[in-house]
Amino acid sequence: MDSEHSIRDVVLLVLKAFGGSIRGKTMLQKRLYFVSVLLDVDLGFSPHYYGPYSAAVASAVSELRFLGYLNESSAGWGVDQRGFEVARYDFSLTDEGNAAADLKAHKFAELGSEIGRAVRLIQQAGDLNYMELSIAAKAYFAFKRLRKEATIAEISGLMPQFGWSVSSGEIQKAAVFLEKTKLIATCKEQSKAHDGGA
Amino acid sequence: MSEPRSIRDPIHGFIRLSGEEAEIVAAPVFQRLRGIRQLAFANLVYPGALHTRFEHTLGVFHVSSLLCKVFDFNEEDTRLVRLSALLHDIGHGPFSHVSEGALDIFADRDKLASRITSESKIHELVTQDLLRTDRELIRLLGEKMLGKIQTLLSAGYGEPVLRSVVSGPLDADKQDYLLRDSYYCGVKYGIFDLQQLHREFSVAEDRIDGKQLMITPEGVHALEQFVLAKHYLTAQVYNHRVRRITDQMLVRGIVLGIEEDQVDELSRLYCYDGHEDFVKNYVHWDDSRFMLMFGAESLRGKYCHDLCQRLIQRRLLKQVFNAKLNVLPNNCRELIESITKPTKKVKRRGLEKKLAEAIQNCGIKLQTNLSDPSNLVVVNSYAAKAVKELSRNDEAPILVRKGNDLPSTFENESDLFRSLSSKPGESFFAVYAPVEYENKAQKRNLQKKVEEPILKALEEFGDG
Repeated sequence: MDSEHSIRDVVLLVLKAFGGSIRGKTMLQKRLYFVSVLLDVDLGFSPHYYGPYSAAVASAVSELRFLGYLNESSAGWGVDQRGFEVARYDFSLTDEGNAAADLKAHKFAELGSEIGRAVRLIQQAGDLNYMELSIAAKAYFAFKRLRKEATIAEISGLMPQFGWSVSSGEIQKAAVFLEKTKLIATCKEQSKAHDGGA
Repeated sequence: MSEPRSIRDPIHGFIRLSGEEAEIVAAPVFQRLRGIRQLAFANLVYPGALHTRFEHTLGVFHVSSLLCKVFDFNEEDTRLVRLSALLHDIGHGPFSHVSEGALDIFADRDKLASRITSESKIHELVTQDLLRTDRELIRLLGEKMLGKIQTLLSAGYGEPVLRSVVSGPLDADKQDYLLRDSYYCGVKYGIFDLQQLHREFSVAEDRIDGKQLMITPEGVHALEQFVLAKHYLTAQVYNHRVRRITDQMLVRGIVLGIEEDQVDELSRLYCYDGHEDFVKNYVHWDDSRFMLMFGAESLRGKYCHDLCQRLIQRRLLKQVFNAKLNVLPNNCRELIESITKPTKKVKRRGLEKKLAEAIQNCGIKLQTNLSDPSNLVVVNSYAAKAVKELSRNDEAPILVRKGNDLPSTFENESDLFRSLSSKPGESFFAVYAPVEYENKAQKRNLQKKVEEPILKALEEFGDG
């Protein structure tokens, strides 16, 4: 991994890899969370009721706006019955932002291609909405912290404890997402490595 | 063990310490905080701002103690949180955050590779070393307890709500410094209703992640007041032009003292390599010793002496240029935005030499007898952030209780916060130089004269 890149560079490259825009603050946070997990980089995520949240990522988004690289537009305002913001903010790279992302991808070639791979994996694992992605993020965060071996059944079993009103369809989609991104397998490997070293 | 003590404080009234806590306060490593001013040279703008890390730390301890009661922590968690509050600023060096900047510049990152990432703060490592090695602290608290304190301060320990007290958007640190800095600066911007805020704190029972800090709907207005206090104090005090200049002068004095003057004592103080001798020396420094040592007559003719004396006599560098980042030539913006980062040291010096030349070519004299006047031309980039973006502890996701429904967030519940945060923040680029003028008209003329040449130099810099 290149040594000099910042959290802001990662956010810029992730936005670019998702086609230059991400709809909703929750979606942005959770996608960045999964990229950080897949790349094993620390982007400052900590536990939050509605799934892992990183103030450092939020701050990096602001910095990208200062530089004129990112537009943040308010696309209607609302909160669903579960307390989540509903597509209030759309984030999209400006022309300057796209050009800057190309330069960064060149400068941090290894990081750029790793992010590209992680984003493709996330996209191929299912077209999850912000709620489903939050379920997957919160469940994975919990298992990773416990270094506990996890299966789809265990993850599905954990989700009703969130306290959110989630449908079985949403749970299923989140669990399949974790399986397809191979994160459940990652949990098992980490668990074994941990046990072996203990 | 010592007797419990009460200490009178102008912000919070009596602060009550247990015997164990009184012994920590009496330890040399804690008493040293009496010599480190909270706001460095802010007293050159606000003469009353002479308060130190010592009384701030006691204030943070007091607020933390109140919060332990509010959240009904058990005895063990209460002890951990109170001790962590007492020790949270123990690693501060002379002039507080100025030393943090210098440590970042001179840390030997190769030797520290196993302990740091690109986002690591070196002063946090110094704090960790202190908590791990200070004999008096080990004698008083034991290594196990100090380890727990370190963990709580750096990554969190136990329930998330414990960490919220020592580090987070509503931590005890901010609650104290907003009130304290306002009081000592004599401004009325940092005022908020501490009692009301505490009354409306609550805990969200998160079955997956553990207990998290939450406020009641009645606390939304008190939290809005807190956010505004932070916003105003940042604009009026922390980001004051003169304060930015004095901080930059101190850091420049340290940099030139090490690199040009080759003052060994400065290198020993700021070139951190993780060796245990570093903190042994570090804990013997405070603001006064720094100014006496590096502003000493024996160092006359050296850059560090010159900059220390300028600060002592209030002969400051002047801001000759200040512009929003987005009006600078497109080709240099991102480079300029990160120009103060340690990794950009060489580029920064190159730019400063170029700008010094541009200023002198306008017929403006750089007022110094030192060998290379361009060393006293200092560039700075800084952000004037929107309310919600003031720190990496943004308030937006703070939970708000919603009766029997699931909690909402502060951003969802506060119309004021939402409308304030719709105004985007801005980043600026400034140039400071050793120039003199007698009145505002001369100042305006000078700034006008250098504007175009500086913009041209920036464009050339971006191309290079």
